Amino acid sequence: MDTLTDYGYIVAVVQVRGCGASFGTRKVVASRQEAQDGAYVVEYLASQPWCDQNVMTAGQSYNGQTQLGILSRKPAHLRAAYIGKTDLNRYDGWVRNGIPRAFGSRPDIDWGKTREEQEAVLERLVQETVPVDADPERQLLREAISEHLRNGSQVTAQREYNWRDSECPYFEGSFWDALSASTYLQDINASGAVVYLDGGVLDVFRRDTILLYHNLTLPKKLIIGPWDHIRPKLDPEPRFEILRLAEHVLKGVENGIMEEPPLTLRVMEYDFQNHRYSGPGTGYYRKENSWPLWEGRRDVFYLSPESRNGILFAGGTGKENVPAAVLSAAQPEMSGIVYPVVYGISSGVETDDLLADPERGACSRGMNFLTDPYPEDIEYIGHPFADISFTVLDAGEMPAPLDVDVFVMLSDFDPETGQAFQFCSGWMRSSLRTPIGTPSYDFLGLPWHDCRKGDNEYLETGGTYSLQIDLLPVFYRIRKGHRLLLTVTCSLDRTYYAGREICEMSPGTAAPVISFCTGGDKPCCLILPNIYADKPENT
Amino acid sequence: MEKNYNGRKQTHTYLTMPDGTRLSCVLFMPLKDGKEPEVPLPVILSYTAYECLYYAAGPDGTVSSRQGQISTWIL
Repeated sequence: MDTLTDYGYIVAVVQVRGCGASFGTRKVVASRQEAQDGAYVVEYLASQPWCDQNVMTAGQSYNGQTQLGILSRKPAHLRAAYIGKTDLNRYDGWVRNGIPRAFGSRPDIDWGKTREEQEAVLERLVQETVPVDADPERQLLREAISEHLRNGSQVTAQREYNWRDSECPYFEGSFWDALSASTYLQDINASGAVVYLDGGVLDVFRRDTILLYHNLTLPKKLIIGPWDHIRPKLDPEPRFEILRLAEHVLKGVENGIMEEPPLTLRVMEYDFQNHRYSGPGTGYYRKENSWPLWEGRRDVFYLSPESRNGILFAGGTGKENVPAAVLSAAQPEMSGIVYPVVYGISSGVETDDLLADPERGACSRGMNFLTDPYPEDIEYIGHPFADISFTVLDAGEMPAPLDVDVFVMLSDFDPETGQAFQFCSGWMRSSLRTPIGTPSYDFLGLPWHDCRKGDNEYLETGGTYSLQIDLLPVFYRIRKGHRLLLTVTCSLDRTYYAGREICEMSPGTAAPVISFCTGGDKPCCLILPNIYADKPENT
Repeated sequence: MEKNYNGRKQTHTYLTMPDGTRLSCVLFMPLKDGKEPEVPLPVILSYTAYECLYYAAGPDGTVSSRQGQISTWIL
C-alpha cells in the first residue's frame, strides 16, 4: 500500500454489497450485480476532482473475479487490470472434472439456525467491523450488516451444483455459466484495458490463469511466480508488478513492461533444508513468448506393482509401514495393484509434504510409486497427464450408483531428508471420465469434460474403467539424486469426494476395493512434458 | 519511477450505487509532508468481498486501534 501511495497513486478499497460495512445482499459470488456496481465505482472514482480520470484495478482470487466482472461492463475510464490467481470458468476452476472443492468460504457468513444465533452473530459482526468515519455509534453499520442476513452461501453452491448445467433458483439457466467470466469473454476483450495476470507455481488456479491468458485478446502479460494461493507472495511481491504496470499504463512511463516477452515463468525447486520455495536457491525465471513451451518429447512413467526400491513410508499407529512401489520408464507385465479405498484422507492439494501425517496422510493411506534417483537435474514445464485404469473388485457397502474419485499427486522426494514436497495434482470423478462435448472457450486442447446432468456413467463390480486426467501445469526442477513420487488416493481433504457423506455419517461403512491396472493395453502411467529432449537449434 | 509522496490519509465513507445501495469505500490519499496532492492522481481500485480495515490488538492485548491494511488478499 505505502509503495503505491508513495509513488503517487490513490488507492481505493471498495467492498461489494453484502460484505463488511457495505449495505445490500450478496446472493452469489461474482454476480452481474457485482460487475455492474464495480463498473459504476470505476466511473465514480474517475469523475472525482482528485482523480486524473485514469483508473486501474488490482487484486487476486475473489478480487480477480470482481475485476473480470468490471472489465465485462467496459467502463470508459478503466485503463488496466492486474488480475491474480483466479479462474476464467467457475465450474472448471472449482468443480474440476466433477469433484467440487470444499473451500472458498471466507466471504460467507454462518448465521446459525435460530433467531438467537442470528442476533449473536449480528452483534459480533457489528463489533468486529469498522464503521465508516461518519458512523461512530455504528447505527448505519448495524443496518448494513442486518441486510447481509439474506446473503447466499458460496460453499453450499459449490457442493450442491455438481454439474455444469446445474440450475439454482437465483438464475434462469446454468448457475455456473451465469457466474463465469468465460460467458462474458467477448465483452471483456472489448474493454480496451491492458491486462496483467499473475499465477503461482503452486496456486490451485494456475491452469485457469493460463487459460484466461490464452483467451484474452487484449494487450496482456502473465507472470507465474513462486506463489501459492494463501501464503505471503515473495520474489517478487506482486505489488511491484502492479506498480510497474501502473507506471506504464496510467502515467505513460516507458519502463519496457509491454515490450518484454509476455510470459515470465518461475521454474521452482523446493529448498528442503530451509523449507521454502521462494528466495535464493529455489529456482529461476524464464521469459517466454507463448504457452505451452515447445515439447520435444513426453516422458512416460509406468506404475508397477514391484516394491524393489526398498523405501517404506510410515503406516501410522498399529499399522505396518507402507512400501513404495516402482515408477519406471519400462512397462511392467500385466498385473494389478489392489487398493481398498480409504476415505477421510487428511492431505489436500496445498499440503506440502504428503508424508507428514502417518495416520491419515495421502502417502500412508494411498498408493505410492517412486522413480529411481534422477541421474541429473531435470525440469518439467507444461501440462502432465495421468492415465489411470482400474477394475472394481468389490463395491463394499456403498449404495448404488457406485462412483470412485481418483486423485493423483506428484511430489519431489528427497532421500537425504526423507521428506517430500507436493508440486502437482489432478483429479477426476470416474463416472465423468468420458471426454464429452465442445469447450465453450479455448481449452488449449486439453481433454474437455462437459460434466452435464446425464453424463455420469456409473461403475459396476467387475468393470474396468480408464481415466485420462490432465494434471495442473508444472514449473518444477527435480534435483539430481532426488526421486519423483506419485501418490494416488480416492479421497482428499477439502474436496467433496464421492463417498464422503456416507463415510462421515457412517464411519464403519465398507469402502470399495479396486485394482489399478499395470501393463497390458491399459497401463496406469504418468506422462510428463520434456522441453529439452530432441530440441532443435532454432527452437 | 519517482517517489513523490511520503505519507497517506485514510478516509472511510459510503458510495451510493444507482439503486441506493451504499458500499463501503476506504480511500488512501498520498500526502507529501502532510499535504494533499496539488494535482489529480490516478486511482488503483481493489473491489473486494474481504475486509480492508480491522481492529488490531495493542501491546497490552486490548483491541482498540483502527488500522488500514491492504493484505495480500486485496492487492
